[in-house]
Amino acid sequence: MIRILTALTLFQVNLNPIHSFSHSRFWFIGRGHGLYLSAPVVPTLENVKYRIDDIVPESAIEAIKLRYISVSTQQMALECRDVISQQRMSFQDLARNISLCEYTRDRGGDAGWITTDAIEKSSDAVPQKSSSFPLPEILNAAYNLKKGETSIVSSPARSGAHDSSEWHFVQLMDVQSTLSPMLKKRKLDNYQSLAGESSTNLIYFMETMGCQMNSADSERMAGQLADLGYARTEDSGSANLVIFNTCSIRDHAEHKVYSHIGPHALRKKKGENVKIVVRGLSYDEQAIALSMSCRDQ
Amino acid sequence: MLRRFPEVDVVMGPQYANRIGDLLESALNGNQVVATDPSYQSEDEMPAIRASDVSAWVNVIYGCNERCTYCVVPFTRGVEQSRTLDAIVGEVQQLVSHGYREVTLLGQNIDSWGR
Repeated sequence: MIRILTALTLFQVNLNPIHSFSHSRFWFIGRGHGLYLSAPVVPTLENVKYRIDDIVPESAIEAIKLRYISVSTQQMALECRDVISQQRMSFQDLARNISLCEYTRDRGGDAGWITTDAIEKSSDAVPQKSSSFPLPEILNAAYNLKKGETSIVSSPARSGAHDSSEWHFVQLMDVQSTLSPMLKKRKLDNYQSLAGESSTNLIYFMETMGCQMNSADSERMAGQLADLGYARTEDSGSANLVIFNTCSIRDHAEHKVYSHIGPHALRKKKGENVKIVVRGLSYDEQAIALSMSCRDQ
Repeated sequence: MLRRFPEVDVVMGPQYANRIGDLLESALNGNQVVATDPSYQSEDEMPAIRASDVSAWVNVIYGCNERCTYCVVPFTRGVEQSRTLDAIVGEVQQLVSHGYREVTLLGQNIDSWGR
């Protein structure tokens, strides 16, 4: 008896409704000290993808941020790669010292954000005659990299003899995807626009639930909102923007959100000018997006 | 959730934390916005307003590739996306110059950074 009790406390069984839509349960089989759990049937996707590059379509990439160092020989480019990978020098310092490209040298080789439209346009341009910045060879090389990866690519020299070439050590720094949310136009029966609200009266209230990761993300969002001109308040009744940073790791956590949204939804229905934002891990939407049969919430 | 609370204006996944401005703009124009598709996580342009002046959080990896049977995180946060070393080091150096004493590196599956 005592063995079973201790085993039960060790294996905290979570009969989580999330799994119930696959019609599965955890079972205890066996007795005494031999307790076995039979694995539930987990919904699986065909060809589960594990790399973000496989999941996000290439068409969703809006812009890339890259930096590069231009040198005159391949040997020098390879040496650049060694210096950077062994961290003997920072990329910026190396670029300032030896890069041949006068546009980016003073910025530490940083070419900034280039949109994918600009990349396509520069690929169509005639090589050697193009004075586009940055060079299409560099852009194409960067486009095919993963974030943080480097590559060495050559291009025809822009100045000097016609058949000489330049070499570039390119690093992809960041990627921005296009924002394409699902939008649904609201019925405007008692709708008021916050845009009409004077800019001194934008107040937001943020509620953070869950782990440290959510707290960190709340801080980041607070930075963004402050830049947009919103002031923060601790009194949720006086805010006209309410943000819930949620967690649904357990069923109880998921339902906690509903109890918090309730009063604000009521305020809105009564005609107060309140915008409600729910951010975070809520499994409902994902379940719908994965187009599996889910139980009606 | 929207069925239960049609008053909610914006539902966004955690990968859109630094795009909240764009989503709010769309909501202010009268739309109900749902942004939950997986997307690349870009670096923030604006610095975060931190709750403490002494200890700070720094995200190093986002998402999880494991598929533990009890956990919903891989389905909501998506696949792993590590931040680049330069971005993380840059952020920590900035924090040090602002006088922070403690930096906690955060991640859902933190021991798989860089995989």
